[in-house]
Amino acid sequence: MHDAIAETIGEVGSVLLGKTHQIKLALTCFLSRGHLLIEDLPGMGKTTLAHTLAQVLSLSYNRIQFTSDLLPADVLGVSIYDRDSGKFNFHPGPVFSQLVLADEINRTTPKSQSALLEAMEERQVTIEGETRPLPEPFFVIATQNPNTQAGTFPLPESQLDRFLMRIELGYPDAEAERMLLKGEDRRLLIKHVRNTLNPAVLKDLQDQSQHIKVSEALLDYVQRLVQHTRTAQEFAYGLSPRGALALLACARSWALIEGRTHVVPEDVQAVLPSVVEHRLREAADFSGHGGAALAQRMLSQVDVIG
Amino acid sequence: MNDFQIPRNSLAWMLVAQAGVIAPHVWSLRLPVWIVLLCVGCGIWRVMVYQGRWTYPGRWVRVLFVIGGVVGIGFGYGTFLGVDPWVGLVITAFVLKLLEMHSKRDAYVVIILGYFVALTEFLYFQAIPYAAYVLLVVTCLTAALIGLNQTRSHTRPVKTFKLAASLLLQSVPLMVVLFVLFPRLAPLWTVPIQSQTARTGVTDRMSPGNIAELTQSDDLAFRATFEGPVPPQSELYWRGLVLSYFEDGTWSQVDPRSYGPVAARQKRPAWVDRIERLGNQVRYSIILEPTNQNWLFSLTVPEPVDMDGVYLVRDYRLVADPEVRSRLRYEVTSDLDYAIDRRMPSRLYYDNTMLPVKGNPKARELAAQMRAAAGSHRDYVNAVLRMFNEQEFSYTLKPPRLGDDTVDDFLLGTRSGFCEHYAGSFTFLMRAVGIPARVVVGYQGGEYNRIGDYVAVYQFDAHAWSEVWLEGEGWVRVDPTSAVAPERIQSGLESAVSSGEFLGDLTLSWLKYRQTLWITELRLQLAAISHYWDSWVVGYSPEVQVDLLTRLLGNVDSKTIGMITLGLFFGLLGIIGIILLRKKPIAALSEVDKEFLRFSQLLAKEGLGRRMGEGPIDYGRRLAAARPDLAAVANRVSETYVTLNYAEDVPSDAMALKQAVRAFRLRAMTTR
Amino acid sequence: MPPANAITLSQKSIFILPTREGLMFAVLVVFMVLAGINYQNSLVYALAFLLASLFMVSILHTYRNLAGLTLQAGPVKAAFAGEDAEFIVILSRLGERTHEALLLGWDKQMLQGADLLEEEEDRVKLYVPTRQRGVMNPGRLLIQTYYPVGLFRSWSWVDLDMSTLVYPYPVAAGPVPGAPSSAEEGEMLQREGAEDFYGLRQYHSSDPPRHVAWKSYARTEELLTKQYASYADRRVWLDWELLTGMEAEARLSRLCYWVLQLAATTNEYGLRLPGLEIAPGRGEAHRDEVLKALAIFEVGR
Repeated sequence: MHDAIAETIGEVGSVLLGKTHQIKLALTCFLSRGHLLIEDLPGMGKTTLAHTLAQVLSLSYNRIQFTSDLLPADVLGVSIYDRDSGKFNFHPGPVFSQLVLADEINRTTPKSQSALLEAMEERQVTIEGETRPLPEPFFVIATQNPNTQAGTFPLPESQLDRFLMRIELGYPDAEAERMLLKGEDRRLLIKHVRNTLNPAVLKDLQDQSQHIKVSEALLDYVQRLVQHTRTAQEFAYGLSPRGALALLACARSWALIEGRTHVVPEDVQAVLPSVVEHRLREAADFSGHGGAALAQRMLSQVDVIG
Repeated sequence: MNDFQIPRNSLAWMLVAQAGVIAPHVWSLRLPVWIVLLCVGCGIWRVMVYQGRWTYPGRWVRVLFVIGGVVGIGFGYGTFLGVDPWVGLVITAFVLKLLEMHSKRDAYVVIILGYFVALTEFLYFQAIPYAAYVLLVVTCLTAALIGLNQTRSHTRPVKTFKLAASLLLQSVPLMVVLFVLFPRLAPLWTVPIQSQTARTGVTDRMSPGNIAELTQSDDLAFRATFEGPVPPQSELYWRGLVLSYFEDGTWSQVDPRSYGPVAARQKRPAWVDRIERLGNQVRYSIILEPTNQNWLFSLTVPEPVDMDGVYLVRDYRLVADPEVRSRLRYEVTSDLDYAIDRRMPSRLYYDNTMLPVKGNPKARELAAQMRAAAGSHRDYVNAVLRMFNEQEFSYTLKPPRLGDDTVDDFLLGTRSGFCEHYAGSFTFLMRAVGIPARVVVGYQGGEYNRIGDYVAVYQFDAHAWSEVWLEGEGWVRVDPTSAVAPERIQSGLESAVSSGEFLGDLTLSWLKYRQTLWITELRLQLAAISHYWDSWVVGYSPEVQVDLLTRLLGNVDSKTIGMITLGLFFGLLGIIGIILLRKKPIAALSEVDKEFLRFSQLLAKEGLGRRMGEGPIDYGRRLAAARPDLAAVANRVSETYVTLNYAEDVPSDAMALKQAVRAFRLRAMTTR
Repeated sequence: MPPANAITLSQKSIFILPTREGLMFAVLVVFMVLAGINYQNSLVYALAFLLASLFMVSILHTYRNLAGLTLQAGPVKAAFAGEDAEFIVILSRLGERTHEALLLGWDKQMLQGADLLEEEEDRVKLYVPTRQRGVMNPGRLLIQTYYPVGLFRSWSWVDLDMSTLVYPYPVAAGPVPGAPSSAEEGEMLQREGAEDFYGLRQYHSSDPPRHVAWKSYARTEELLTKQYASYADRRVWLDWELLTGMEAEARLSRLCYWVLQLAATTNEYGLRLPGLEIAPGRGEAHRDEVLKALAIFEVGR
């Protein structure tokens, strides 16, 4: 089973060069049944990651390009009257697939955004009084352009924690970039990627992840971390209990990916920035900390042994 | 700060303490009624202020109160000198200050005055119950002090009291050091004498009935601790006063001045060296309860006492100057075998044969008849004693009243009386035929407390007997009571009088139940404790201190004692501090965590300590990278730690980790 | 281990001296000893010594009440000039020891009380009056206690390095220039791609099929197109130059007022100050960014 995971990471890594950590995080997110928010500049490989993941996991895939004139119906689907049958026929929107890439989600209006967010949360869609379940498994990878640009609607803070994780891809390192430049078009490569997992195995892995052992000592550590966000000056507000649960779930999945049967502090540390940074806001802080990201500072201020 | 509201907690304890400090003064009727009323009034007013029903009195009302208080005390006591008016003044200030608590500082003043009032109690009484009571009141005051500094949220008075008690308890060891070692100085200036204290014990006038009266009291007179075995009861004649002057049925001292301390004070008089000490010497110390009289008690014949204010006077007894106002401890050496005044100075001879010209004619006649029948003075003495023994004389605490010629009435009339009747009439009979004789008043016997190893002498042990001067023998003690009731001398008053007479006026006295074993046992225990208290705490005088310190430390100068005092004091304070400041962590680290931290600290010396927030696996990897030679053992440590700490719910035991660390150490040592 | 911005009080940082009441108490003890000497009364001595020992022991207790206490800078909230800025100091303890009647604050006259009895930590809210906009650092924090008997005061000065932003004091400056007034807010502008249903009109062949009102077609067999509209959505620029002729502080105060007005609407707004431009945006983070710019604009010049 662990081989399958390693293989998956290898396969995706062959397309998205030098991004093993991010690939693992994305996988962690899926194993924990969460949705992923990727925040990065255009052209960093967001679409490639989503598409490749869909391919290796054998998931049905749909991409929604969010624009300012996109309507909720464009995401969820519409009922169209069929004159011949005299009935309304439901035309499912692109959200009805196992992996949905919601590209540039901040370009659309809050109304359309919340249509998607609600679907994510409830894993079902209610249109004109009729509830339709979304496929299983169901993942959303949303991307967002972090630069404040004209005509965007950044996701409200209260909605951000619908995403289990938020990651950034970042520029590739020199070696990866060189290989990228030398190699073929990535999009063509995707077609050749093997299926390493299937939804059934994925579900199995998700179940396994929930049974990864968490010791008292580790819970102590997680509690200290959470407590720190609630007491330290640099946070405008602390991590919610839901955030704490998310952190633990992700640490379990990460441990599974690492091939462990129990969670160690390093697992928590690996997923912490992606899990908590979008759930926290830095307090108006002018004492000259800066530099390291909030989560990194947190890790260096809360000790593993307490 | 006009809106200062005293915390409820503090006010409650303050009022309790106030009632507490004042109560004994009220109880023992030392305070005038108007001060008592003032106390109650101020207390009620203060509570009303707290409840917001009344306001503080206005400025002029307060001024009026203060002036009224001072004037009242001035008139009431007639003086501002002395303990009583002073106590009255402090109490008045204390209660009036209650009505002027506008700031926290006023509250402090009230409490500090309270401490002072608590202290005044000791000027009157020093027994254990009183000390315990004062300690309780002081704890209440301390609780009030703590209450002042607690936040309003703290409303549990009992908890505050407990804290006060624990603070005082922690202070006790320090107090003991100061108490034992702090130099006891002589009074810096003379202090006013207590004015209202009654004189107790035997008096310098003896008339029929007044010693019998004394025997109705179970108060302690004094306690004597002997070095070595206690002499038999029949030897325990505690001489206090010698009465040589007889007039109107009353025996009194003849010219107390010439026999008093003034004469003895100058230098060692010649007669002291003429005392013939014939052995059977006993040494004992006496703790005398305050009598407000001059005379001290001793067995004949005492040696002069090396102590300021205690003198041996001409009639071979000890006196104190000034009178015994507080419990006095003195040490005496007496020779129970002696001969005194074998050669009688004419002045003494005159004093001790003097009788009024008139009165008691029948007694004089009887004396003349009996003397004529006897061969010698000695025979005559014995004849008189035989008369008491053989004829119908009875010993009773409730003798019938006597007429003007007391000796006649007693000897030939009522024939029932107490020791003073027998001693008085015996002495009269001696003098009537020209034999020098005198009455001696003091105590006889006492109760041996084997727990405390001392003899307790109570007021009911008061006694009177005679001394007769015989040619060639000097003064000889003759106790006519022993002829009437020998059991009085052998085993005390109780067995000599009819049941119901002993302490008949006292319904509740421990001593009435001398026959009940367990009560006696308990009483002796308590009495012994009280004795130790009196001799070591209350009686811890400059002399006792010097004595104790010399015994403990040898001859050391005051500088050394000072150093020892400071050293002990601050040493103890340090120990208390260490106990108080001991860290009590909420959750102690597990053994596994501790071992891993030790491991990291070991490496910290080489700059390879675990960083803040660094996980054990990362740390192991870093170690392996920094010291490839130790990689294997370092990894084993971190892996073992991870397995123990994270693969199980709770680490089972730290052995495996300890082994791994030991292996690492071994390896580190060999590769260095 | 304590996190940064936290200070645990230890003997290096704790000072202790008798209070005036403590000196009064010492005088009392001296008087008592004098009484003991003059009356030669052992129990008076004993009481005097007991109180003297209490005096000394209370040093330990007063010290202990601070020792081991951890102070940590908690979250701060920005304030508007003239308001009180709220600082939160989190008190926590190391062990089971309780701490009572603690007083803390920056101004000796206005100390805030706190207790740590059963609770592990206490969040103490401290208010500091602000006068000028900018970054405010109230400096070293005083923590002191008289507990338990008030005879000693132990105190410590703690630098938690807390600071907060002070925004300019908002001064009402009328409606926001260039923004729809509240009365106009209901005005609808027909707009392509808007999301709120507005009305129906005749179907044109160029209309996208998803705008066709299929339900009405099913009923009436007439093809109608749904029309959508949205509320006026205009970007507002708050410009320094809008307020020419005023002093700098007065301008900032008015800009601040407008920011607060706009933040309560759905409008996007940007800020232009000399040498600084913040693109229009919405949301709390954006508002805070704009207010921060106003707060620290040319501070200290």
